[in-house]
Amino acid sequence: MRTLLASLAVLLVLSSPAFAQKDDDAPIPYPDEQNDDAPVQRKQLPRHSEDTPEVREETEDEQREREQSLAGLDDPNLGLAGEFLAGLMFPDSSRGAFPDARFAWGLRFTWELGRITGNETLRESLFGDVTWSYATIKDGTTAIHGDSNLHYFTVAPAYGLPFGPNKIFSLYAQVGAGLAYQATFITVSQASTGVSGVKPLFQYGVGLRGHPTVLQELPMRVSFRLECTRFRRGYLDDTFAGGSVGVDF
Amino acid sequence: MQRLLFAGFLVVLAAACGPNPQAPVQVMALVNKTAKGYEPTQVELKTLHDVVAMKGDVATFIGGAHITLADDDPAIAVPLGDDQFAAAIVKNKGGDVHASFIEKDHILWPADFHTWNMVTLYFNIEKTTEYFQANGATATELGAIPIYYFPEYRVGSVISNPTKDNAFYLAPLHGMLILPFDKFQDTPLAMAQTVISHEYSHSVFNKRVFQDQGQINAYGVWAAGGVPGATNAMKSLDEGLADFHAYGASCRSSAGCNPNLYSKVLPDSLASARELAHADRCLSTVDRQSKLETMDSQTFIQNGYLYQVGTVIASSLYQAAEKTGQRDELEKNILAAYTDTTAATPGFAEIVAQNLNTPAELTLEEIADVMLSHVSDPTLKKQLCNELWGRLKLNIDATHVQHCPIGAAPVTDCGQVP
Repeated sequence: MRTLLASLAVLLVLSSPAFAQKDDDAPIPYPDEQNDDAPVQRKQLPRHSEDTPEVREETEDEQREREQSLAGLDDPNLGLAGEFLAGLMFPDSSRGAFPDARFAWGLRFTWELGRITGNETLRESLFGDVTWSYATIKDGTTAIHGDSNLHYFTVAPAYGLPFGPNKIFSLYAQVGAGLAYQATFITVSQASTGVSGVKPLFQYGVGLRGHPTVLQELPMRVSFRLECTRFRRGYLDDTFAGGSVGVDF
Repeated sequence: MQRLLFAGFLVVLAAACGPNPQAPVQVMALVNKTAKGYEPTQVELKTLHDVVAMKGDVATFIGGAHITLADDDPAIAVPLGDDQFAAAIVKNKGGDVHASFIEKDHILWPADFHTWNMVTLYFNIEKTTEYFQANGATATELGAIPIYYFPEYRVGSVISNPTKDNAFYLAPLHGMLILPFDKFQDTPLAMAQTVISHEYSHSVFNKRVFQDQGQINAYGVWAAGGVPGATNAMKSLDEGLADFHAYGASCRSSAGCNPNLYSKVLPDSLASARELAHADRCLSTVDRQSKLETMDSQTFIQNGYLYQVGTVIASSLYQAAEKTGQRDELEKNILAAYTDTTAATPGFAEIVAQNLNTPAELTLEEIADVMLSHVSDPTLKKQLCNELWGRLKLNIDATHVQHCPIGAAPVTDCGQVP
């Protein structure tokens, strides 16, 4: 009898873990796994999490700041240039021959107007010129000769394709318009008679533009141009081949 | 905004087209006004239709042409027809001129020297055609003469430098060449009315006497026959008549009659030798025999003797016209003498044809007789005979110069010229 009771006791001890489970299929909890029925000793959490917050609309200032290009942050230049230009003007030959070359010179002011768009591509490519150039035509004999003074005033935007280190060079194409003022004199035995007039001017051309930095510590660059430009002066066609050099701020 | 841009585009497009006024065109030209010289003057061009390309009923301008008339040019080494020859010597046809104007109060002002030059040239041609039409030519007959303006012209050799300082009629092209100036720094040739009228007269002579041939058949036949006298005489006649017509045209200009045709145009040494009013403009017997009648034509021409003889012919006509006061009548008579199919009074064209194979018979006497046979006024006829007889040392007898009237006698101005 005692043996049977002892055995039964041993069996009961060995089966105690089994007695501890309510259900044989219940999972054995992880040590950190909370049990709903287990007493909680943690900070009291809200019964419900906060609702997903609504995304508010951007303010105008935030929109501007988001769209603002940072392209110019490291460019101290204003995009303004002044140049002195010189070259050969081939005014339309009234005698129907190949035009004679005449020395021409003038002044040009350039504004990189692409900067106002905020677009990095346009900033580097789009610019505009305001130009005045001058050429003279003299011909005739000692006794009777003519002098014509041609002034070309144009405003012309241009679009360039930058290349080179730091994109300091660009090949560009340009069209523009303006006015040509012509003052002409015919001299007969030292007596001159003059007449002047204005004609509409249409300009188109191509060229190479560059603005290399000369001194790093200065916020200005050398600006230069090589160009071939045609002018439609009324019903006549003049061709300019030359260049310009100046300063870019 | 779009409409504004489009309107601006139309304005620019309109202004980009050249001026296109209807004839008559009001334009400024340089006109010789005698004591004052050349002055910018408003003129009316009645026949000009394209003011930019300078094309009209009496002339059409060609710019930038290259013409070579060279013995060593293989392109003309073989015999060619007139059209082929013309095509062969024009190395570059050129194109339209582009006259430049500034319009002011509906008057076109030339805007550069060459436009002044071309407009004045067209004006001079228009006045010359009016002269010839007043003397019996028709507008249809005269047509529109091509003007090769400032071409590159090479003569003699294909590698010769372009010729300058000249203006002349070139028969193969049936047109006038106005060459660039270099040493001639006085009045540009194109502006000198007497020069233009002289050169234009050659086109009329070529049309009427040689049927507008590009290569004068008679000159070729006579050269091959080795008898230069006929060629020398006809070329001298051509020059003499051109000077006489230039004088006649000058009498219709604002500057008035100008017998010193090329004063202030050619160098003095050349101009003074061509003056018509000198009383002693005469051909010596020695010059007639040694130069006119026997010298080979190439040498005769290259030495300018055709101008020497031509000036004597022109002076004879001038003296006859002024001494009788019948210049207008004589101009008509002389132009009528260019061609006349009437058997009794053949013209210059007819005596050329008649003497194609007998060039030795085409003499100064023959030429004088043609002139006299076409003068109807007896006083004028007699005076003209006197002048031609005395100045050209004509041999007038029963068989020569039959139209010289009885009672005529050679002028004695040439007493010092044997």
